[in-house]
Amino acid sequence: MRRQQLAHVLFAAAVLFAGVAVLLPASPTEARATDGSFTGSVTATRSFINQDGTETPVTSNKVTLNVAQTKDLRGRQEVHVTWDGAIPTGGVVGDPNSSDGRNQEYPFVLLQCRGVDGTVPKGQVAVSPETCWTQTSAERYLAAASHTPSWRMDAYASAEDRAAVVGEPDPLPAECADLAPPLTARWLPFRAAGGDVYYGGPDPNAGCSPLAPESDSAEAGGLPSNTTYGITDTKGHGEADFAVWTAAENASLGCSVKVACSLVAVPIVGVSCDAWGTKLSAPQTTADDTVVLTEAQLTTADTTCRKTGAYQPGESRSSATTDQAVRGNLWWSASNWRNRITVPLTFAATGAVCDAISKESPVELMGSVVLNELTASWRPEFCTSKDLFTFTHVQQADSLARTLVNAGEIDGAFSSAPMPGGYARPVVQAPIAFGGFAIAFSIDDANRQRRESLNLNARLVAKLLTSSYPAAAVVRDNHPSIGGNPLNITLDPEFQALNPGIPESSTLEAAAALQVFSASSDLIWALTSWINGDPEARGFLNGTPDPWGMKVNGSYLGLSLPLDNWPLRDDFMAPQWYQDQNACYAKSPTPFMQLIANPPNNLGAVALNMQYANSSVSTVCRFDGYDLTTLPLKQQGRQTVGYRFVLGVVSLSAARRYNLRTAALQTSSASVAGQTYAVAGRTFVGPDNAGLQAAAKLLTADKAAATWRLDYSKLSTPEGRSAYPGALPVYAVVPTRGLDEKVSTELAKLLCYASSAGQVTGLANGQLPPGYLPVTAENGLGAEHDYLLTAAAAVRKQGGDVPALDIAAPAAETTCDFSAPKPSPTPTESKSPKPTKGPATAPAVPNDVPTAAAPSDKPADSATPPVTEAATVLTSGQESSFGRLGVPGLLFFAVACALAGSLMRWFDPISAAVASAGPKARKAAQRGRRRR
Amino acid sequence: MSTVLHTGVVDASPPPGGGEREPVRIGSSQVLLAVALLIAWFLLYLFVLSGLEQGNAQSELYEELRTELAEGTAPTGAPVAAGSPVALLSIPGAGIDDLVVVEGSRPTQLQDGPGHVLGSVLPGQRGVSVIAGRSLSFGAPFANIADLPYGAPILVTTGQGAFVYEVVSVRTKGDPVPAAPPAEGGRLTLVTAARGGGGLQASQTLYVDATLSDGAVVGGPVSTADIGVPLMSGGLDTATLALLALSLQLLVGALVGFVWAWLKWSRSAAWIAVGPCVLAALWLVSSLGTRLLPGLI
Repeated sequence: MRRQQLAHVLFAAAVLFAGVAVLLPASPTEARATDGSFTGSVTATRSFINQDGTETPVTSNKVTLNVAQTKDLRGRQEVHVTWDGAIPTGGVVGDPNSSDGRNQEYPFVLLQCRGVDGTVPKGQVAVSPETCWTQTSAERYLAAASHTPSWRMDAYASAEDRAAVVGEPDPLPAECADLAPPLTARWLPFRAAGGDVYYGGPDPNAGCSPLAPESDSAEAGGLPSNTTYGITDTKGHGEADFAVWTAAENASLGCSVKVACSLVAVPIVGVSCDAWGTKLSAPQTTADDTVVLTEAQLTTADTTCRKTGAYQPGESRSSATTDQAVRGNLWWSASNWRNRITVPLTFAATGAVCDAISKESPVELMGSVVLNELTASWRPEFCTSKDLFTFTHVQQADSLARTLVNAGEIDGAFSSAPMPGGYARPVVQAPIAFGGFAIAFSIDDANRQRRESLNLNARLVAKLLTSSYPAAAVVRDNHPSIGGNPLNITLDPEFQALNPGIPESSTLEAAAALQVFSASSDLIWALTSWINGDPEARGFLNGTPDPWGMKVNGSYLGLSLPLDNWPLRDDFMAPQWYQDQNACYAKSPTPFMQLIANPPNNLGAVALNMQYANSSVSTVCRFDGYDLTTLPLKQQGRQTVGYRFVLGVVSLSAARRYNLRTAALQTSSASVAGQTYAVAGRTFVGPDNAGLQAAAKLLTADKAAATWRLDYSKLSTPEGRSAYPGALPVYAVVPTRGLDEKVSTELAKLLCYASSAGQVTGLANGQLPPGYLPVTAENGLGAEHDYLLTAAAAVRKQGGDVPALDIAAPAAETTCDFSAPKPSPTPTESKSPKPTKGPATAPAVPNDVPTAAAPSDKPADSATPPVTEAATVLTSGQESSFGRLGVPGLLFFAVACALAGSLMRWFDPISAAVASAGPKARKAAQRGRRRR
Repeated sequence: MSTVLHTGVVDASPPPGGGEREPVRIGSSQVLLAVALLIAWFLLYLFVLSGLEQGNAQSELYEELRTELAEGTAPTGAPVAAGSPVALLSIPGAGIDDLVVVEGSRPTQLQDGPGHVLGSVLPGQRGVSVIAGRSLSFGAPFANIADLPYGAPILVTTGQGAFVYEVVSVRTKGDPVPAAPPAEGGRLTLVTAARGGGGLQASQTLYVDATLSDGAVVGGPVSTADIGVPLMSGGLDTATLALLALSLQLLVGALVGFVWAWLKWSRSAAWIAVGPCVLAALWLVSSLGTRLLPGLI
């Protein structure tokens, strides 16, 4: 009876709390959709408080904010933010992320802050201006030469915040004493995740007072700020791509799975003025707290504060000063801050959780950089799931990974290209992902707006890669082979024909380079395969000039492709007069075109350069006050927003993660009669889903290499015309003999996962990130998907099979059922490898050692499917019977002879010794003697 | 003048020494003991004394190779005289330190150290190079190569430079042969007889492959292969037999001398003076005799 009563009470309480939870969320209204996007709105008002205490409303805006993705976020990912109903921005600057954006009038400020709004769970902090990140001290420290700047007149601020000097560090650092004390100052310290407080201040470089370490300039290695002073157009609409940071990018902000962070949008409406202090209990004073502000001062303050903007909506910044009361740098002021929309951000778990959780040593899988985003998504899922295992993906050159798995150094590799000469061990190459390369760009058009599309053909890419654009006048006038070529790609008529509207510039050295990372990778192999398969580009490399007479750089003439590492072959050195003029170049003379190309050393660096429009051309010689003796050549660095032009080769998944714009690549060209260069006959395909699906149809099986390859010659056919040429399948190369049971089971689990849950697209950990086409039958990759199961069965079996590509796949239920022991071989499975034909080549050489001329060959009867191909020659050893029997036989024989001989020779003494042993022995000896 | 009659007991017991059967028994026992001693000597020679012989040969060859390397006259291609040194081999993982590799892989050459098999390129050059070595006798240089792990370094110094190979596979009969090396790479294959049976047996051939990923040089002409004597079968060639016959004659002569000294001189003198001659002749016979055995033993 009592239990029943208790149950009733608990049930009622549960209903009550559920009801309260439903009713609790009030304004601002928020909606967090299941796909992770966020929509919220706020009504932002501004009013003036008159001397008599009455309130005059000024503006009232209903601002709506939409954030495209707020869940499963990853470091440096860009989320798309749009807003409507805000006040249009005046005094517009070119780059909303720059520190100068704070001086715009009515910007829409976006900040990433640590903490949450509302009820703060245990271990988290509340969002406040002190936990929001800004990069420079000017955005946090304000000083005025008057007693009455607008922030002191904020009606919604507390009395302490309206004092003359607020937030000063106590004690003030000694370096600050050297600076003249301002009349009014507002310090806004930044509270870092570890507990440190950085005050910023008038001169952080001199020690007054230091900023967080991530505030270093981008040139010193820091990331450009993600604080956005967004520009609202005259209709009240605005958009921005906001880069979210995890603790890996910004440790002082410290956002992670465990530390809650938010995106805070502050629509600037201006300070609600209360110059007369009607909301205050005591009148305002000057800095030393002695002199009360006079009536005249307060009147000036009121006039200054009531300003609504010196610039027209949408007007660009000129030399006129913007109105202080409506500037973006007052985002923290209570009038603006109270109108904020806080968007909670949830980050996806990174691989760091694996180091903490798993106790076993991870399986190392080495190779392909194309799979970086895929393994970043799968790795936390694998190591936290008890059915799966822990692995690490070591990014490496695919060729090295293939060699290591061939030698038995590692248990699995990711690669795309076939192994030259075949694998010595029996391995299976399972297609676990279909990704590709993309040519990313950050280009601004003539209107200083970001360009969203670009068409590139293989010949243009070949021109960039082979340093055929001189880039600088010194090269054009002195180089032996490229003197007659356009200075950079913007001046190339072919580029202009394909992409009208891009401004020409003869000083843009970054437009003569394509940023390609210098490590070996099959990504470059795919890029050069596409170039090699294009007849125009191949002809250009062989010396045929383009229709305007541009010729290839002589150092690259006749270069044989494909390659997995782009060589820097041009060795042109600038003449002496240039070295005299450029002291840095004189100190470290390098072939000039290599300074233009200056490849970054990994894919991540290229993606970073594309995201922030950094030019890697290192011809800059700038004396910045440091060591005169070194004078290094510096990279050009971040280009000004509005005048950007960078191109780089990245993987498709990296382009999608960092929101990079990707170029459409040419698949076919048809000549049109009467025109030397026909734009109309050319087709360009971008890396969208349709392009990848069409590319999937172009995969042809390469039985010799046991992989599928993209047939670039088919791009010019009608079926191939709509295929994206940058598609690249990635294989997991796993040996099918020699692995121990634990590792083989784990790798088979990886293949089974890749054939099922791993091909579901999504943003959460364990799903297929954007930038890969799922390997499924719907996308035309049915044979590849089935081969994943065949491969998983072969890996589990560890029988040394190399299954043929067209073999019938085993059932997924039995192959991927890891609760049971290994499935027994079914009739459809591959047979064990047959011995090949007899020892090859000259009988003189020991039969089983192949000479360099004879390749390892397969049995002749491999034509009938489904038969396992064991593409190996078996050792036919030699045997020696003497070796087997001789020495032990001799030893045995010797011992026997010695025993027999000694017995016969010394029979009498032996028998006497035996006889003396006992009566029975004596009797036997006697009997023996009598017999004799 | 007349027959004398002895009265008394007639001793009809058999004569002392066992009569006719005694010499046979003694003789056959002596033969058996001699055979056992001979076999014991042979095994001693095979496992211990041949190592001393090889060590002596190696030190001479080392001096020769050192001079050749310093002068730059070390061979880089055919023709190379059989038995002349071509390379220096070190395998830290198998206890091989600065062993001189000679040209040729007949049992005669393999008695001096590892031998470069004719028909393959010299070590360090592009292509496949084969070196054979013994695993039981004559220093047993390749006794431990079966235990080399993947990636173990093999250092070879020839007249064309020093090269570091890395072991990629260890195989015997029935294991797959690795694919041919790429056009600009090199491979080294070490051949020996795999040890078994507690160190007494050496029946199957064992191959250890190692690759040279970069730095393989272009070599001179490749010698024609030697089809006369396969590695694992003994050679009954006439030259060895003739020498063996001569050495046996020498042994017989030494034994005769020993017996003569034993009888006519004094026993201790015979041991001291003629004993070493017998031993030397025996050594010579053993050395020539092992040339009839498989070269990889």
